[in-house]
Amino acid sequence: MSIHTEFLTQVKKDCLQDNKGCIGYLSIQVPEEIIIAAGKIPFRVFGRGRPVKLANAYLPKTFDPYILDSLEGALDGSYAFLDGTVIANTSDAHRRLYDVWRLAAGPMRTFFLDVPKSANALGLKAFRLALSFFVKDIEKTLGLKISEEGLRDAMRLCNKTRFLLRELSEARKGLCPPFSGKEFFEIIRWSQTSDKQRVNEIVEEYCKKWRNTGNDIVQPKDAECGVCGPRILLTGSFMGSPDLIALIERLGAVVVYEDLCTGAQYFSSCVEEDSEEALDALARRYLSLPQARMVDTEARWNYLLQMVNDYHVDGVIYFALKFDDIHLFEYPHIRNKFQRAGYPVLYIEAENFLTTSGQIETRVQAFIEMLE
Amino acid sequence: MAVGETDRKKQRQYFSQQFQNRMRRPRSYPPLGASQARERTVYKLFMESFRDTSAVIWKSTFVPSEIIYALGAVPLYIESFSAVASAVDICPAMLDASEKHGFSRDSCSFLRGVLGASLKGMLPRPDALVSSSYYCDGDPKIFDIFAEKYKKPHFYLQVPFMTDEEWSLDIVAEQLEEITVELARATGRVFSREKLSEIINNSNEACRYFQQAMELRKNVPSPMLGCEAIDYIGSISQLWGSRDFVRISRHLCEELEERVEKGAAAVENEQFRLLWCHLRPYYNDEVFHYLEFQHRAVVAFENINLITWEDMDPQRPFQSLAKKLLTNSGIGSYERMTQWIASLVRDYTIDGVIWMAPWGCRHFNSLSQLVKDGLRKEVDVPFFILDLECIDKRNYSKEQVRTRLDAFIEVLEGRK
Ligand code: SF4
Ligand code: SF4
Repeated sequence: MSIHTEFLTQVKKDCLQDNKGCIGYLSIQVPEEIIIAAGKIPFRVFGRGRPVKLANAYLPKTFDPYILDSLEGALDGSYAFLDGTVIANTSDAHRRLYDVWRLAAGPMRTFFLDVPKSANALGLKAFRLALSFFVKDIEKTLGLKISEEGLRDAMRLCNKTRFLLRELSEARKGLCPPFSGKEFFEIIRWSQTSDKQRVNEIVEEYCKKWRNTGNDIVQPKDAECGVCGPRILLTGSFMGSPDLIALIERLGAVVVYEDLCTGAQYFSSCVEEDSEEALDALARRYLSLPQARMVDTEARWNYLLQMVNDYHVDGVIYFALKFDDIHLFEYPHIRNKFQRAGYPVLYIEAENFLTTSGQIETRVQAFIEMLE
Repeated sequence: MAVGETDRKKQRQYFSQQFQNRMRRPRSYPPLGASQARERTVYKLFMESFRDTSAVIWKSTFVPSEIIYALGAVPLYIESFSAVASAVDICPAMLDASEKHGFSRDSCSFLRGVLGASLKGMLPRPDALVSSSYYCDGDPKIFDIFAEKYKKPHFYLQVPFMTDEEWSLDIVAEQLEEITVELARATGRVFSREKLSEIINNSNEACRYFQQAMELRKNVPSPMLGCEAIDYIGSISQLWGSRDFVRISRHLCEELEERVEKGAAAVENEQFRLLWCHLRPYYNDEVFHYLEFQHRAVVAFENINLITWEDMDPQRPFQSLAKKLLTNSGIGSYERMTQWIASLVRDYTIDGVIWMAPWGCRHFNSLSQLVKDGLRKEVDVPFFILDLECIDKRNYSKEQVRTRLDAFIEVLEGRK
């Protein structure tokens, strides 16, 4: 078995580990460091990808499908293994989910975190206050104390994960991306739902092995990996499964960068470890994520432009979840910018988990043919 | 209409012409003097915003107009442009323009309307923009897009969900102060605390009258049509702090007092008293007329004409404005909204609640079922969720809406 296949098999196996002592969270603005410092494993809720029934009793159908999907999981017991869930005020849908989750999700504890949309001095101050409130709430509810030292250790642990994932991602800048977009998505999903210590060990071991082969970059799994079509940057809404990526790649392109909160945004930057106060550093890092929800569209655009350059992208696919207002409103604006910069853009609006939709397939195919 | 971005004069003429057309439309009820004054004031405000010499600050609902008046600038509650446009029937073209540009039809039509109006060059160019985290995600996002288009600064006000925490109040107050100072810088205006105190006093005065008017509307039979009363909200959002609004609310109060004294009823032989939640369809009055005149079901109150705050301290303007803002029941948990609706049902002797649920409004629609269920534990009142658009008349079907309203009224009749 090649180093590469061995690694992917290990990731798959590790995903199936029994998740005990987890605290769930939905948005990447929730600092995992705080959950780890409280002695728990942060578990990103990705939704279950099955039809929604129970959730419709609480929230309208014209609502963020990811939120409905996650709520369904809370109602049907899929997340009963969690010791609690953190819901952050990252959108209208998330903050309403907080209402329903604490009302209907059974005995599970529900925590809340307010997250401003602006990263200026007062935005940071507001977020810092919200973080203190969140820490106190966790301490009170779980009956423990989160120490500064514990936070520092967690910061180092999470930074290491980010560093390693970035290293893997950057290997995709080259001509022969070592992972397909689908594989990479699975790696990121695993890293957000598993014990960080273990994640770090497995990824580090893999990196060490391929470095030992004397190569600069990760080698493709074999000479005929079949991922050498047009290079795509995928951006937009939350994506809980790699189905769309798989479809794109099945049709002959390769997703080399996913600017998604379940993709590269997760590890896009590190927390300053030597900052005087841990919570200040966390506030700065988590508020600087280049997300569409923030009011600094210019900063987000500069980041995206950098990524299409760095990853030698040929075309952009913008994915918007139905009823996700932030992305529905952002799309035409970002599309124009990409087009002005010379990048073709394909827009796809769909439900959370892509059901085989012929129409989408035809459009993706036409787009890829145009890029070839 | 082809006008350049900076051509406020042509925009002004166009807007004026549309507004005059609207004023000439036959009305099915004689409006109160205060309501006519309110319409004229809003018209004047829009006309001001089209003047080259005006400093125009685009704001979303929650941004207190007081800080803008304190700078001598014009507060333009930009979503209300969509409402006015819908009323004069120029909205379809605006919506078409936004959809052609790629904005989804599933999103809020107020915001899409404004985006379309901007694409068609109909909006008075802003000198600065201020958005806030409430009520919805769409608002700050489109303000950011506008800021780039018009090359003007965009300030953002973060209103926390946890309204009862002490730090929430402080952080809102601090932001308001900073935003005010920044707005002064951006518009080249001078900020004076004395002026702001004076403006706060205006708000307090108007608030006392408006609260009195709210009290008078508790009278059975109701002295005012809901169809007329609901239009106050758009003005309120941009008139707090102005002398005009003091006059309007005093006038409203006097007129309602007189009507109550005389026993004048807005709807003769009033049969039912309704509470209306959310805004209204702006493209016609049919729904209100059908309820109020055909079914004699008066809309006795609306959840949005809300004053939930107490007198502000003019010596501590930013803290007071923050407090005023945070008392709004639309912020925070669904329980706050439920309690607010329950109190209105009790205070206004309400027989039924109509909860209007426009397709694209995530903020409000997500409350529908939660409030409906929560309310059941508080008061015994039928609750009807009515899917209806505020701005976009393209899917409106008079017959369908009537059938649904008939069914609701039947429920109310069954309880008599
Ligand atoms: S098929 Fe060849 S060129 Fe394409 S990614 Fe694989 S190894 Fe590289
Ligand atoms: S109607 Fe709803 S979505 Fe539209 S601007 Fe108002 S709160 Fe936002």
